Amino acid sequence: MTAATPHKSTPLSSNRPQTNPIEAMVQDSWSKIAPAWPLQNLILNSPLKGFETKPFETALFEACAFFELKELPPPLESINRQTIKYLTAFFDTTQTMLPLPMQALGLWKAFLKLAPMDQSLLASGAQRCAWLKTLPQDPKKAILKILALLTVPAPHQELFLRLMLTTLPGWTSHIQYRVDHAPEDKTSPPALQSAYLAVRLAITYLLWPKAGDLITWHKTNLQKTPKKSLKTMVSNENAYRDSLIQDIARADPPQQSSPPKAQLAFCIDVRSEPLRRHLEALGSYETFGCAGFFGIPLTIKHEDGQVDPSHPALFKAGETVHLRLMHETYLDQNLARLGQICRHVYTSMSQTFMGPFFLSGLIAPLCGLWSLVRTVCPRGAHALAIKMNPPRHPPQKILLSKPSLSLAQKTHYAEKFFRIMGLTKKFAPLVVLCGHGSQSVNNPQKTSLDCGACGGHHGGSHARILCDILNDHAVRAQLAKQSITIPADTFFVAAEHNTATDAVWIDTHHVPASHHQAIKNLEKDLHTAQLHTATERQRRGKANTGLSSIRRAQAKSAQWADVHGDAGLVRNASLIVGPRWLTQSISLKGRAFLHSYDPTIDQDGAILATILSSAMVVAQWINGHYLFSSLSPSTYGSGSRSTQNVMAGFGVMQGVSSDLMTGLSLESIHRGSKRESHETIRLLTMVYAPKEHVLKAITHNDTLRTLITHQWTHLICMDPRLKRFYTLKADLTWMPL
Amino acid sequence: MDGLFWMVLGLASIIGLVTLLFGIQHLAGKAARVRFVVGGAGALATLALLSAADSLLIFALTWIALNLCTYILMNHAPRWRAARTSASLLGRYLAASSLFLAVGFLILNHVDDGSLKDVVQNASLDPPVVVALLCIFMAAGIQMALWPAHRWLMATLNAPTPSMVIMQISILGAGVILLVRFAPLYVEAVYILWCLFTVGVLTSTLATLWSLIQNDVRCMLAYAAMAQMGFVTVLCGLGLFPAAMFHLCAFGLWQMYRLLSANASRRHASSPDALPKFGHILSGLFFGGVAAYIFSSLAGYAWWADDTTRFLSIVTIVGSTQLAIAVTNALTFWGKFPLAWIISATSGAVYGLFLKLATRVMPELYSDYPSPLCLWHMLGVIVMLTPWLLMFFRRALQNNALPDWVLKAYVFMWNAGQPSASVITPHRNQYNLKNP
Repeated sequence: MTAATPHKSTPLSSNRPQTNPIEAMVQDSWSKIAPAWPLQNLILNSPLKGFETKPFETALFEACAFFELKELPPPLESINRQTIKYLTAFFDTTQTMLPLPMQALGLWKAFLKLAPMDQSLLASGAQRCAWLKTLPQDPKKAILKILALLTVPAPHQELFLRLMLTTLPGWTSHIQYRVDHAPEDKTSPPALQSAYLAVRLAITYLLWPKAGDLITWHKTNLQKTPKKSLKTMVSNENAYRDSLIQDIARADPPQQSSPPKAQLAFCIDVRSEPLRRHLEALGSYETFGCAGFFGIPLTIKHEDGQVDPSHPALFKAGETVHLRLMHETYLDQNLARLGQICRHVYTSMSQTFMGPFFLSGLIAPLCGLWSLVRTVCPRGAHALAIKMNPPRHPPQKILLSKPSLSLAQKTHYAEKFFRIMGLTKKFAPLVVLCGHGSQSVNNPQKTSLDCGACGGHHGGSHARILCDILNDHAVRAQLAKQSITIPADTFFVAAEHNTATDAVWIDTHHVPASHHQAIKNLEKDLHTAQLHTATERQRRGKANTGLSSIRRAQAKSAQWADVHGDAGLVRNASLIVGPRWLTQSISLKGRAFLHSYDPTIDQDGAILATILSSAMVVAQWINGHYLFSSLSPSTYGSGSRSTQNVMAGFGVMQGVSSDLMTGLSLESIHRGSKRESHETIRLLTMVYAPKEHVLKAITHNDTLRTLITHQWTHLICMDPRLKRFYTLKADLTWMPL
Repeated sequence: MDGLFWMVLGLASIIGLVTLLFGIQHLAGKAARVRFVVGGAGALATLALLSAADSLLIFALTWIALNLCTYILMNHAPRWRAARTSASLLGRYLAASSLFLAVGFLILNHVDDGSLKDVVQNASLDPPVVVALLCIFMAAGIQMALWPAHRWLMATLNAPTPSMVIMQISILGAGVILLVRFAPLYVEAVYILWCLFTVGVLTSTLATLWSLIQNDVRCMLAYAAMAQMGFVTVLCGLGLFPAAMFHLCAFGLWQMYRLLSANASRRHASSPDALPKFGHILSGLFFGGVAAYIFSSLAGYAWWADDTTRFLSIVTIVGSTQLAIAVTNALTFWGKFPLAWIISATSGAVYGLFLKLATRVMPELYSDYPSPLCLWHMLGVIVMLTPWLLMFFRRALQNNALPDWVLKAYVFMWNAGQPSASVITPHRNQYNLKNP
């Protein structure tokens, strides 16, 4: 991740100058809203990100009063229904065949044009219609005008606007995403926040002229809101921390040993840990953990023009690479083309008048047969389906263009990658960079199971690009000048870990003959590790079927009825930053993010600061996402998968229509048994580094300092010099454990 | 146990097998699973029984049992307000349809008590029988979600996916079976047949429009189902009962697939067929004409007949034309025109063969009763065809200088296609299910 630090970005909204009081008021009202990413690239983050400026307990209480309301005033329900109706239609560019007219004018102007014709808003007739026509074209002016009409006193206006946002939190969060993270989106001009508030206020005035009462209602809610007990959570956290410390305390630094057969770098994702453990147990393999985009932020452009940002949300878009699907055989190529034509014809026939009647008569028997095959023979059906619609990631063969990087840039990325992982010497003959992605079908939130560091996409492309850089002799020569000498016989290979089945695909193209045997041996050992990992996972879930563990995992990931396939990051609990030997002998049960770090090569703590400022923040986002979806599933989760309704291609609703349901589905958190369900605990970061380096990293970074001082996350440190554990308290002092 | 029964049994078996297996896995570990298995199996079994029932009493009792089973499926989450009100809304509609059916059957029972076949063969069109037929039409219309009695269909969208499949297919299917069982009597009552045709045309056109406006997959599919029911009603109104039964089965299988795979619909690219080249439209129409000729020959209808079977030829022309245009748009090489011709001709042949098979399977009592074409029929066809042609110009909606009347019409239809307020979840905390 370090390689990209110069590009580090902050939300776009916070960069804008606040020129006048209304602008400041609008921005302040949005300050508590966390962004919610669309289905195309679902990045997990804490829904209470906006409350992190307050101590955890106070924030929970306040968030409860804003978000966890059992009932809304009845007129506000009608206002929400109308707001949902307008927003859904305005932002839909993929589902509907007859899009809302006037979309190009922007949200507020389109509303001003259409609302005077909307009889469902104008119950009392022409007077309201005339009023709508008098509203200013500038949404900020309109906000001021309507606030005055609603007789909201000036000191309460910001709170009133905030209530307008928090009473429809799903949509509000999605708009926050569009404003902060999708500037290229034509539907998200900078004024979107004001436009949304103006629309909401206008609807409010039309349907509930006495909405000023909302302030009193909120104050009553604040009085009624009970303080949440954190007893269970704290006891879970203490139990987990004590057990982790006990395990780590037993670890001994490795003695001098022979160089490993191969070194593998995995993503820090918790799902990598079991596979790494089982692979290491098979022989002399050394594994590392780092951010799954391997420090190279990319923007991937597909043949059809689709552009996928493939980098962590903390970073700006990186180098553009073009991705083209390749096919192993002529038959594969033709099947893919046939699939494309069939989908085109199907859409054309089914999305018009009269065509569907004829189409149903033609394809019904095929639909019945295909449904039956998908149900009883999911693996076969999936194999055929991906032939007709190949995925844009491994194991499908893909062709990637080379990013336009200078030698200096390539060397920079390479050096940072090695230093951050602590791999600067003793290179094995084979070094594998292993990205990851998941596989599930019929799951609208499937991108949340892919690599978050790659922006909710598969990470194999990043591995391939970095391997190309690291196999470049010119880059190696430059690295040698930085005292990173890569032996001539060391070869870097890209791979991708399928976290649903634990299969690892290795890119064997361009591998020199000298390494063929090593690759074969590695593939064999990876297959054994896959078997052990799948068996361990199924033992946790008490699954017991006649199928082998791997076959069962494959069948689940290909089954269209399944809602429990990839466990995702359920039960995530800690981030461990340190050398692998610390945890190598422990089964962390897939609960820990593992970032490799060697304190001996980080004299001033700069590398540690980089790791913590990225990995710790991202791990806390993910942990917060799971934590709050478990604490209050209806408020922060997205409900049951069986009643989810995909809306406009980018969000899900519940049932017929609802607010956008952000967060995890119930099936992602409650997974049948207690041992598999998520445990509500805050992230515990364990760092193996000198205390003063840790403290420096925390105090010099506003986000990290806030997270620690307000107890949104816990941090313990094992000082290598003292061999003792310390916990960092809220007042940023150390307490021995 | 006639051909109609075997058709319905085949449909219910495939849907039951796939959906129950799907649901058992999909709802694993959830409280709703037992309810789903009991209600789902019950609904499909009663649907098959309904098609076999030859006694008015047994038919009515099976009808009520089917409705009860679907109500059980719908009442899956009493803690979720929208699901609760959906169950209540559905219950009211189903109660109304059962009431209309009971009234109709009570009247018919005076004509000839006992066998349903005897009633439809022996009853003369006296005023009480006409009233009974109207009651039965009302019962079927509610059950088939025909406009304006379609609100319940949107309410089913608050059910788990597999339950929704079974509910939609069994409730809608029951309505079609009811209409077909009384086919010989409806053929006698020409004015009711015209009513059926008119309601069918309105339903299919409005529902297709609403399905194309929708922004989410479930609502789009619900309106697509309603449109199919409108089309089936049009076929009944034209006296083409085997075609109606065939389309019920085709709709059932297609809808099952679409609903069960609805969660995969993340990126639904809009059709690129807006305003194709004029040459493509002309060639498409020519290919469509050829396909319709092949269809008529294989289905056993006269080419461009003077009776209502011509309607099926028109459907084939439209469908094959659309298919040919889509194929020519999707392909780039020189041979696309011959290929489009072959594909559209094959589609006409396949459609014709399927309809022929359905006509063979259906008992003679429920076979085709084509009537001479009249102006009213042609008007209906124009109403259905015009929006199909207009769809090629739909990109014009993105013009920012649209006249007010177009905007008014859009907003009016947009609002008319919204689900009932009571079945929406306006605040996420009302979805207060804590466990799956």
